Amino acid sequence: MSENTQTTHPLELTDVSFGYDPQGPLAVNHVSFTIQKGSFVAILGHNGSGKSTLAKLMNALYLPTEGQVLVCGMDTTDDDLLWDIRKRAGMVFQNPDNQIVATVVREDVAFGLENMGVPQPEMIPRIDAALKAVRMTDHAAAAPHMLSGGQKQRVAVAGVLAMEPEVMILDEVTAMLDPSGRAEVLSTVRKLNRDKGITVVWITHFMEEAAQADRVVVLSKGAVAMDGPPGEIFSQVEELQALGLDVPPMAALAGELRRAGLLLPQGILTVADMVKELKQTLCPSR
Amino acid sequence: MPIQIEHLSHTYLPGSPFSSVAIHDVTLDIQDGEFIGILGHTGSGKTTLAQHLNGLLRPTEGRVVVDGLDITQKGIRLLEVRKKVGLVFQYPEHQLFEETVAKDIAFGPKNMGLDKAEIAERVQEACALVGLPFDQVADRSPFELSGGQMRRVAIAGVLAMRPRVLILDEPTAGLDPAGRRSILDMIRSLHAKGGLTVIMISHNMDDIASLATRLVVMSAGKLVMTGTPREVFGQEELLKSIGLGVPQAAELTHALIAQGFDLPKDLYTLEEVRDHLLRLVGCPSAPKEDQGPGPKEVPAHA
Amino acid sequence: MLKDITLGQYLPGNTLVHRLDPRAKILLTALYIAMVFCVKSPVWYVLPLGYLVLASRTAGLRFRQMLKSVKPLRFLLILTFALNLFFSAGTTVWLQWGVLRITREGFFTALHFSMRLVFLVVGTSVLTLTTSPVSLSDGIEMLLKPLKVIRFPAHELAMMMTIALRFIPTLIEETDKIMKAQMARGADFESGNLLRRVKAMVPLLVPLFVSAFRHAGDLAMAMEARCYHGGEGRTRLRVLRFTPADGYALALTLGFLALVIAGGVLLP
Repeated sequence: MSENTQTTHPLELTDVSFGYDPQGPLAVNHVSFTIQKGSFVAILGHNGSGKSTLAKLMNALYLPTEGQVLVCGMDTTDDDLLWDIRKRAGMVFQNPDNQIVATVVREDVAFGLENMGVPQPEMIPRIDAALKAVRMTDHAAAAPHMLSGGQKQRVAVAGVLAMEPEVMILDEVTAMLDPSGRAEVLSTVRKLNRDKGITVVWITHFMEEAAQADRVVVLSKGAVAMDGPPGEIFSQVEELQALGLDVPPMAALAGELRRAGLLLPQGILTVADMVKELKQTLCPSR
Repeated sequence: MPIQIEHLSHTYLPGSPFSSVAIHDVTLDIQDGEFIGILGHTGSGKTTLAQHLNGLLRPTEGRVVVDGLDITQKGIRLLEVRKKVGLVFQYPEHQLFEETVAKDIAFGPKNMGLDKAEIAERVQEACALVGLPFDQVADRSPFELSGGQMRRVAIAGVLAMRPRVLILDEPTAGLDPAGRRSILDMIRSLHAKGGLTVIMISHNMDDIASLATRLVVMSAGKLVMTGTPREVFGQEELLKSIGLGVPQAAELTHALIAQGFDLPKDLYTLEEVRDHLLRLVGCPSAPKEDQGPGPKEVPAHA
Repeated sequence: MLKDITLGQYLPGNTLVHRLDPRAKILLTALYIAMVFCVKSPVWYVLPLGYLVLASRTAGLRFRQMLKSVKPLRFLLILTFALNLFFSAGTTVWLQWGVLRITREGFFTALHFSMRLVFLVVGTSVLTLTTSPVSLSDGIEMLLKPLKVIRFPAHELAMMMTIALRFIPTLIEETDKIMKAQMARGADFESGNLLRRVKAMVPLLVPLFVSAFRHAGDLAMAMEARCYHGGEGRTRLRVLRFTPADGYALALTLGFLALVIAGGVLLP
């Protein structure tokens, strides 16, 4: 484990390409970006835009056919660093049923630690802390199949968290959940980002979720189509729709009101934003 | 073809230590041509309720009458019921099994004992209804298609039985925005042009708001509320108390009213909210002029 | 819902037998099996019987619970008895009926072999009734670990067992769902002759296999992402520890085994 983590970024992609089939089209096409330490970045794209492939390039599950992926300064093509890379860049997947290995919650959280060879006495406090951070302490002894989708995903997050990663990559982890499950997983991860400073890469096709990030990277056909703060991205209604994406309802409404002549600023994403701006615009005296 | 649900209750594994009440005393009438949206949390009993409507589950108590026939009595020919009431499960693409798309869609009609020509005709028709190009997909393996297309094949497999009532359980789950929109458009046209009675289970308020003519709200196995979307979405407090939300347009309306804006409190689509906001001029707390709906002057243009 | 049904026969409890180390329990069971095979004549089953009574009393098991495990084997049991009864060689004829005849020797052989079967099944059920599937697979892994020198995949075997246990409820739930989905399309799983019924399973089995492969692919990737790379250098959350109780139980069982062997040699 080198000391260079303080000076390097958790993730650095330089001109990365990847194709499943050497003759076929590229799933990821010359992508470059850097993820700052402690940030919460959403990667947005429709199905088949290459976002899941990109996720798997970020912790050496796939290796780039061209370009370079650095995880905390470590090149993912370096075989000797493989386990160190996966430890630093933890990954949570879409289907809650397909990533829980053990038959008891706390044993599943232990799975990564066991693989890393953490001594048993050290495991217990790390498991307890991880379960506490995702608010699943009460279910430590439960069988995973008795939990709700949102609870299962929180267990999966705890499993990665216990490994104490630098960056967490969450690949459409809410796609199969109901609204309350989605909200509970997103707020858990946002809290980890805020309180523990864990860098988060949140891959999604839900605009409302991307709207909560510090930065949104929009992917289309394997390439970066837009990159910026959510307020800036979501005011480009037509461009997003052309990419097969939606805008959050409030951003769409703001766009229509602006077109009709109301002087609303850019960057309205939520109901709260809209209420605030409408008050300002419609009665500036207050 | 009306459906009457009378005092329906269902308990899973009754009498065992694992017994749990999934639905309790639900009574509901569904008329021809309605588009019913069933809303509710996971575990509220929506799916259990749906599975009673074509006899997949038998009630512990109460009865279900489809087209005048009590389908919960013993000895009923369930195939007849399933011909009339089509049920599309959540993630229906997981049920595909045949070598080709055409064969998979033909599974239902074949079970109905139809002859070859009739089956072929229905398969073509079902493909058209779900917007799949028959000539291009008929002989392909369903497993080579994209997620959205697989879902269409699965829905076509139900439509090929020519049901008069179509029940869809979370038809947009897991789809991206473009996929979601196109499936919703398809469902809309099945209802509008195909004359089907549609019952759609969803937890996406915005999807439901734009489609349903009537909403049914379930919570903890009970029917909590039924009414037009306007009536139901006006009850934000009640919906929130059972863990559901309202469409963002309704949420915004309620928040603005709380701030003193003069808006009708039953708005629930973005278009309505936009039109009403554009009518409002100046400060919301300013003395009201006469309530003419005509457009007023709008603040300086950009 | 099907998924609520508990797996295997395990009856949770906190008796001395429940708390024994799974490795010890597997060894005890092996010794018990040896004991049953060493019994030379029906009379001597009194020793394994005593041992079973002792074990089940300590474990708080009721006789009926243990006998349940014999039920699926009842046909095999009848067959074993009948074959030995009619076809064993013997001299003291009790009954002669055409080609069939029952001899004294045949009767005792039949009794002997049937009792052996019953004792084997009932005895091993003490293990499965008092040990959870997870600790069972732990125990097996640890006991088989030394076989790594001959490249026996002990860790992989145990991991497979754990994953199988984890996914059984998921697959049961999926079976239920796919079955209903096909029934909604008019499938009939319940009527017709055998051939028809087998054919009717295709619409159920194909989706199930597809889904099992999907689970497997996803799970493999998720395990790799969490640094799984086989049993090498792996630590464990659950640590097995032998206690004095395990030692006493082993000594007691060895004692019983010795008695049975001695009985067979001294008093045939």
